[in-house]
Amino acid sequence: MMRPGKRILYLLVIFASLTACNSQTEKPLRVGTIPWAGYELLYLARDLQYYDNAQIQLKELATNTEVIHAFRQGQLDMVTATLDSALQLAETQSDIKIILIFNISNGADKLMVDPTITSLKALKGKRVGVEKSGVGVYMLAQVLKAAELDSSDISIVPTTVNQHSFLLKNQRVDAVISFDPVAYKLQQQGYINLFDSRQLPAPIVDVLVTRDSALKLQQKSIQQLLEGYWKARNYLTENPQDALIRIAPRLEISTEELELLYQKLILPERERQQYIFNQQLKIIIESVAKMMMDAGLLEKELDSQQLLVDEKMDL
Amino acid sequence: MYPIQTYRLTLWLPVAVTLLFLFILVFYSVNEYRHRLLDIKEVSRIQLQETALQLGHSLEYALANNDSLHARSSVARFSLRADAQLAILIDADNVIESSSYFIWQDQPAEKVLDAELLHYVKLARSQKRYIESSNENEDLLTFFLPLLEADQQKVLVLQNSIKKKLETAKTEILNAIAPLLLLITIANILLIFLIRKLVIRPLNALQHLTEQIQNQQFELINPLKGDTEQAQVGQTLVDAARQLQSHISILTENEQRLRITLESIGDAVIVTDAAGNITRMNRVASELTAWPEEDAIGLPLLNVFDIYQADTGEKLTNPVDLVIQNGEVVELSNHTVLKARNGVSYHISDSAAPIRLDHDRGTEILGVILVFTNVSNQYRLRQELRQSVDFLKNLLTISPCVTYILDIKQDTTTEFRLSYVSESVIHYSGHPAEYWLGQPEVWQQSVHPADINKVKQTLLTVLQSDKPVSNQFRFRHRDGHYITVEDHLSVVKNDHTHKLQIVGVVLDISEQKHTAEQNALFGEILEQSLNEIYVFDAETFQFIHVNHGALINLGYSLEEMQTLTPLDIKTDYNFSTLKALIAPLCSGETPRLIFETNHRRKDGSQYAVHVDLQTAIYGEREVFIAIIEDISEQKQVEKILSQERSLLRSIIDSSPDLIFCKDDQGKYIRCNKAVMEFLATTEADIIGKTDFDFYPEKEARNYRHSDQLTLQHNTSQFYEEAVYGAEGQKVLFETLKTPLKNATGKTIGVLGISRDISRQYEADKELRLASLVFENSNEGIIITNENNLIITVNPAFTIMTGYALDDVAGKNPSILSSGEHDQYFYEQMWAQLEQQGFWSGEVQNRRKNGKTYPQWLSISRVENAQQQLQNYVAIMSDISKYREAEQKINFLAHHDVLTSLPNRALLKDRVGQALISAERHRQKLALLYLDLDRFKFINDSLGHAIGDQLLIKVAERLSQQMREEDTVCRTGGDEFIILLPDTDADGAGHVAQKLVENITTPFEIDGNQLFVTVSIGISIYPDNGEDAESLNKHADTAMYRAKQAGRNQYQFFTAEMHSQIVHKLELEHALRFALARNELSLVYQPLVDIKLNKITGAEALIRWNHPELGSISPLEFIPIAEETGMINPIGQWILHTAIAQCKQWVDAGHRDLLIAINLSAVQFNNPLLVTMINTILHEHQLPADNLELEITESVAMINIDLTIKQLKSLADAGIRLSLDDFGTGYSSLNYLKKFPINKLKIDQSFVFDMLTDEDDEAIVDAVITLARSLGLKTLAEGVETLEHLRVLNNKGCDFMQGYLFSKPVPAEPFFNLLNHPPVGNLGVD
Repeated sequence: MMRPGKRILYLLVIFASLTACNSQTEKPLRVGTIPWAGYELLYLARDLQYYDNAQIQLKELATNTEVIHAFRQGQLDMVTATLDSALQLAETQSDIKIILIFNISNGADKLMVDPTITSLKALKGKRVGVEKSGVGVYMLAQVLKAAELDSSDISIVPTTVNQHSFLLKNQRVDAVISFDPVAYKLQQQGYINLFDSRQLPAPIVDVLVTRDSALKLQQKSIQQLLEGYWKARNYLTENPQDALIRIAPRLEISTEELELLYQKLILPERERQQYIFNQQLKIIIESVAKMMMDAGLLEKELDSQQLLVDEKMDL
Repeated sequence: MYPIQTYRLTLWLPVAVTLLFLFILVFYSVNEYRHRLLDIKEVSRIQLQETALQLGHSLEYALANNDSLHARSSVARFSLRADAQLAILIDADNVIESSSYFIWQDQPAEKVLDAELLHYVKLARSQKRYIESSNENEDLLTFFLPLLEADQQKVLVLQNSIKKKLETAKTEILNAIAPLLLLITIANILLIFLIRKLVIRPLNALQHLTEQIQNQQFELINPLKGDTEQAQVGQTLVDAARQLQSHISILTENEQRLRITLESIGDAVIVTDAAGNITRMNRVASELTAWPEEDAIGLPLLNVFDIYQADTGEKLTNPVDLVIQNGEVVELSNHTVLKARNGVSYHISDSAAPIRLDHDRGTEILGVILVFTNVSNQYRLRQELRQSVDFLKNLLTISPCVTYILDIKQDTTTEFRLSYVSESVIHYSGHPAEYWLGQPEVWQQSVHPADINKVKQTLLTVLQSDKPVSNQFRFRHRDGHYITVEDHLSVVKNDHTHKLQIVGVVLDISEQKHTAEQNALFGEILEQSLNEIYVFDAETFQFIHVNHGALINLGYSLEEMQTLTPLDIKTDYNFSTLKALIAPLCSGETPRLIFETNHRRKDGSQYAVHVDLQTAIYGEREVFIAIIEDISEQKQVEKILSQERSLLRSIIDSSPDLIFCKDDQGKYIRCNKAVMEFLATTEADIIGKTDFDFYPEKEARNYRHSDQLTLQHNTSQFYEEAVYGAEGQKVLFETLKTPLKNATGKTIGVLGISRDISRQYEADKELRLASLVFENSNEGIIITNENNLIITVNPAFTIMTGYALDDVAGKNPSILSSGEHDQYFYEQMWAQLEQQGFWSGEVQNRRKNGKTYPQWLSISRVENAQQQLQNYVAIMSDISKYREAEQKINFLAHHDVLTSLPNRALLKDRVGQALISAERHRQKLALLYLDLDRFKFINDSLGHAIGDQLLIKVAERLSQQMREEDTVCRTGGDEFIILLPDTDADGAGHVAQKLVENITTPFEIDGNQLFVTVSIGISIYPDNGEDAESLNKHADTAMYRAKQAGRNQYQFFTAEMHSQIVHKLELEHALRFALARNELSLVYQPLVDIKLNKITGAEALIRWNHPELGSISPLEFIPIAEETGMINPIGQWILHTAIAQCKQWVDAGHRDLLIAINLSAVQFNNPLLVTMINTILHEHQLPADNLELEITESVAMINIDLTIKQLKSLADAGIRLSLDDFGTGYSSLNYLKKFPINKLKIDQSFVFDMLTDEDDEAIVDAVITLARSLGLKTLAEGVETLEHLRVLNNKGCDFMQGYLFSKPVPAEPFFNLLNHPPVGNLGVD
């Protein structure tokens, strides 16, 4: 029989040690996105409750520019971005890592023009709305190349994607370089698609970008996010109709339109993704970086390896 | 005392400390946690509110600009904030317009929001105010902000979740207390160890020691060492054991001794314990109680010691109980009977004493020792003795005499010491026996000094005589009077003491002696009295005795008298009437009878007498005693007196004054009729009463006081007294009070005469008051006579005007006139005065020092009783201060106190005015909202005083930069509003830019260099609103945007306006550096002589290529350059560059090449233009006829005289001139004729449309025809096609320029062009 004094002491010691060893939980993972079909699988995963919503917070913003801006300011831990934006980020922030490829544009990035413009050549002297991003500039360069025009032949109006419809409607611009679903909607409004990403020499890739610090401190959440994404990707393959029904309203389009949209995007599956990561991504990065250097969007050369996650890290 | 409960130290000490610490810890943690939660909630709430207001502003701006995309992305961006949960914008139809969840957009709000939130949305919308709410757990804060922009009734809903923060706070608190818990645990273990070491082991050793002592082992060793309490306790135990051992041996020895002692003493001794049970008794006690010791021990005392009260036989209280109760020795009691066990009784004397542990009284009683002796024999003897003494004592007590015994000392026979005196001495002397016995010699002092020798002599006599002797002497009573006593003395020889004693018996005979003396005295007095005294028999009426006075008065001898009866001398009565008169006396009804009658002398004369008759017993018989007074003279005097009194009375009564007499106690003695009327009562009711019966107490006391004063001073005095009459009327009296003296001159009271002076007093009072008012009035008063000449003025007048009475007396008040009022004014004033008797109004008057001041003047006509003009009275008050105050109040009402800038109220007024004016004249106006950016920081860190000074400086600086017509207003805090009337967005932008730049110059305040910046919001009428309210709101919104956009800048309300102005200002700014940075360049467009098919000239055109803004059209920047004056340096630069270039080409062989340069209006109007151009031509060595200057038609028409003059001097210098854009303006051909120009340029708009528009073609034709008629050449601009060329050629145009030949090109390509014909095949001949 233990003496009562001793018993109380033992209890105290146990209690004290329990409270002292209170483990630190991870901060919620803040992921910034814009409405874009390629990123919607994240929301599908959320809709299918693959995530702990307290731990993974998807922040819905209107434009890429805002997403990048918020990421730079540290308001986000992880962002969806076009590859070129990722590279621009990497230019100023050395701890950027690409951890997922969402999609490869297969015609989803488009040049939309006023119906009065019937050929690429007719762009001469016109105002073209372009987002001042890699994709925008890249698309524009390719459009001009195809139109055999010089950049001085057109006037460039800097825009963000959410302004496109407004600008065209008010005849502030004559053409925009846009992407689906905005581009698709423009198409429905009667604007003409004269050029799309299928005509590009190097693919337009959308990726998920994060920082080294997040990889270290929010590893569990990131893992959960990726697992959820892959489950959602499978779901899209296995239950395409339900998946489309769930996704379409967020993009404010019909399921049919969404289906069409997905035809213009390649959403690599897990094995394919692995392959791209291992074999192709480095090359893609380098070619995009070169193109951006040429266009003056990047000032210095990037080490493509630094953007890729160490293979030892299991993601 | 209860024993103290003890607890185990090893357990409870650590447990108690731990629990205490834990309690404190838990309390602290819970408290800290709650505070932190509250803080978090409050901070989150404020953050959310601020965020909401910011976002609201941003949204209103976006909505005002119809920029719904911006609004959407603003709403979406909310989700980036920490804790953000939800942001939605709901429109008037409850449809979600924007949301941080995109999927909700365009959904009805009912679908996503619960009923409570919807309710708040509606509430916020209907009440037009923001609402905050939180859920039950208080971890979700929701904010509802109605957006009022353009009445769209949109509501912004923001939701923050602070759940995470709250959880973090909890974890942090737990983490914070964990180390404390650990510390407490370690501290406890340490504590237990220490307790074991320090307390438990020594305690065990001490316990062992006590067990040894218990086992009667007294030879011990202290197991503890060191100078500690424990070691001391151990040592004490060891010492105690040793002492115990020695005490035990001493005790055993004492016990033996005690036993022997007890057995050997003669008294009986019983010892009991504290409970009263017998513990021991000796042999004598055994014998007396007949209880053997062995039987008695252990029994209660009373079983053995059976005692009773000897006299009453009552059972006595147990002496042991008494001892134990009182804790004291119970002394011998001699009236006790002890009943032994065998029935024998003894008188005993007993005493009982407590046995204590110590002799100290405080200690506990252990038992009682009872000692008693058989006193039966002594008791009987004493009983007998007491009986005889008592008998004697009683005898002496009841005797009225005082018995005393004086001891005589054998050697000195003169000393007599009192050795006994009976108790009754107190009646004679007032002192008790004890007093006398206490001081045996003192009795002699109480003997009357005159008698003392007699007394002593008597004492000596007694000693020598065998017989008793008596003596009378006086003896002083305690209260001072003497009594006369008779003393009977005899000598007694005391056999026992062989002492001589004198025994005396004293009797008080004072009474007898006194009576005897008195009787003798009275007899003599009565006999000698002048009053007649008769004693006569009640039966026979026969005189028994009459005194000497009566005999003389009546003229009878005593013997004669004794034969007479009262009837013989009383003429008025016969026997029966006298009998009837005295009947009441005889029956005992009254003790005496007084009446008046007449007596007859022996000679027959009669006189009036006053009779006092009484009965008395004289010897054995009843007699009457009559005392008679002769009152005949008195009667006569009374009669005269009564007559005089009646006369006096009627005089007094006829006086209207109140006349009264009071005695020295204030009681009315007399009063006259006036008094009676005043008090409305009769004299009888007044007399004997005091003022207190008629007047209120306060007044009565005053009257009494004045009465007493009069009596004290003993002279006549006047008093003014307010008196309330019987009917309540207040009357003011002047009362003369005189001491009232009786015949002997003694003051017996007060005589008062009161006169009513009320009316006189009232008049006096009014006069005094008027004078007081006049002297002390704050208003100046002038009194003039009927001729309006000043009689007097008051001091206030002197203070106000500076004129003393001497300065103005006898003068007309018009000397005060300032001359500011005209004749008419005064006529009106006098007319009213004469008609209505009164005038008042504001006038400007002049002070003595010449200054004028406003005053309020009232003038009254004063008429006498006959209604004739007597005086004018003017009352004036200086209202200059009032006017100043009025102005000040007016200023304060419209200005900010701190900075003296206009306040919001004044601004509102000005904005209203400006709006009316702007509307009428179709002008614009600008409203600027300024907010200092770092002001709060400065205020908080340097204090309000510095902050206030800064605001003042800022206000000054702002005001300095404004035009006169602008209004700078401070609306509170660090906010300023500036109204710029007749100012458009451009002007406002300039002002704002200037302010932003200017305010950054540091402020120097109290040695602090303060840097502040401003954020400015601008709204423009009518673009941003047509009323003050919306202009204000929009300027505020714009200011908010300026803050949001990073402060230190200005913003227009709409983005469009903002970007336009900013762009313009940007250009303006950039243009200043354009020259220096080589951003300007010239391009040249060929001028083709179509006849020669040759380029004969070049028009120099300016181009501006900005590195960031790109190429900027001259159409855009030339007006700015003209506005800012930059056109002059730019113009010069063009002239230099173009002329230098032309010179190169001329030198290269194109001798006739013409360089055409455009002149702007500013340049053209410069009087130094010709000189300047000549200088430049000279500098570059270019002949003047290689230069052609172009001015536009509109420039030429601004000032035709100047144009002609300027053109002439240019032409004189040999410079060619052309009129540009001809046909676009309206030119008077009249003037055109006078212009010494060479060429007309046909505007490209006509050329362009010439082929399709007949009107334009007609103009082209007209221009060419006109030129020809004036002898001028023509040049067509904008020739783009061969068709143009052909048509123009046909019409006879001389020169052409346009894309057909070349667009404007830089110098180098132009030079290349020069060497080729401009048109390969003109298609014309």
